[in-house]
Amino acid sequence: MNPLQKDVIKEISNIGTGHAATALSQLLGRRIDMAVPLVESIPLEEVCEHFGAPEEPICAVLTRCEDNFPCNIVFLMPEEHSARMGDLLLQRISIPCDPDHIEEIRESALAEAGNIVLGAFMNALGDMMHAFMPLSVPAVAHDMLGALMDVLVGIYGISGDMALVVNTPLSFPDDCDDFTGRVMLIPDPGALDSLFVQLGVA
Amino acid sequence: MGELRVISRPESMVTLGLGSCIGLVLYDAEAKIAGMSHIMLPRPPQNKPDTGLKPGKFAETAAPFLLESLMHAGARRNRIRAKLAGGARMFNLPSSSKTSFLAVGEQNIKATLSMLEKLSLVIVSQDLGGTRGRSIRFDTETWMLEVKTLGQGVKEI
Repeated sequence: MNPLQKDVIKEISNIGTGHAATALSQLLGRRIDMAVPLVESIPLEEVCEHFGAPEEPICAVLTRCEDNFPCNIVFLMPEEHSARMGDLLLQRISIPCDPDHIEEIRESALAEAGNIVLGAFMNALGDMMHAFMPLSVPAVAHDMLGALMDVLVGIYGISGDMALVVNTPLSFPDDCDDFTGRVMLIPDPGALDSLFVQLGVA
Repeated sequence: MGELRVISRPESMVTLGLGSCIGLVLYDAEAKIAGMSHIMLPRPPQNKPDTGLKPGKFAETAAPFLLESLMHAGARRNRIRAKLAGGARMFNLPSSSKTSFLAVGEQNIKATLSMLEKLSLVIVSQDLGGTRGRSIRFDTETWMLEVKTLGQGVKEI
């Protein structure tokens, strides 16, 4: 990949995550800061350690785009923050919750937040490419970081021994110093090549 | 990930955070030798020659390679047994042919089991599939595979 192509991916991630962070900020009524997107080439076996300890409990919301730019977008956050985010979302919409179903409702709130946030990411990318980018319904998973990364790293593994890790860290400066959420973009094998052709940087 | 290791008693081997991947253990209790492989994908990509790719990464190449490494270290073919865990479906999206990347766990299970059958290796125990990640540890004192799942504790197989 040449430096121009790397910049293109960085910019795509910047615009996409920018829209996603704005959507999340509006949903939660909280200020969100976004770091500069990171585009790094990492050997497959080091990807997990790059983000944390393999057994760290993590919540991940994943959606897929199937057309125009087949890819996966994943919103990752530490498990303890996902519970907090679920609660924040529920407070905002002020629906009285049946305590027997609080887990399910929180889960559904997280999935919906993921849908809106990751949808904002893809819409921004679609605007840029003048293309419609339909997303799948979101899947929410709570598990060990290593186990969740396994699936994602496997997608890179189809094409080689290196992973092009594109991710943008998010933080909540006002009330949560240690929030380490991030949005990851994982293109299907070959998807980046056709994206570069479409954007004229092949 | 994609790695492969051979040890002898009294060492133990650990793989933390297995999701869709499979931890395959082959061992010869008499020769006191064991090997573990962290299998990531069912098979090498068709359009690429498998040279330069790690054999431990794919089910179809990892099992024969691990077997060979064990025998090279002094294990006897007819005494070698297999234990395996992993192959979970971590993200549950409505299935479509294009989401096959996310169903890689099932494909890994299928490819690994059929390769073990092809090599006529006896499977002593297995803990496969499901929707939860696993951490595994293989003990060469007891020849047991310890499987840990988040929120569900530890079991030995």
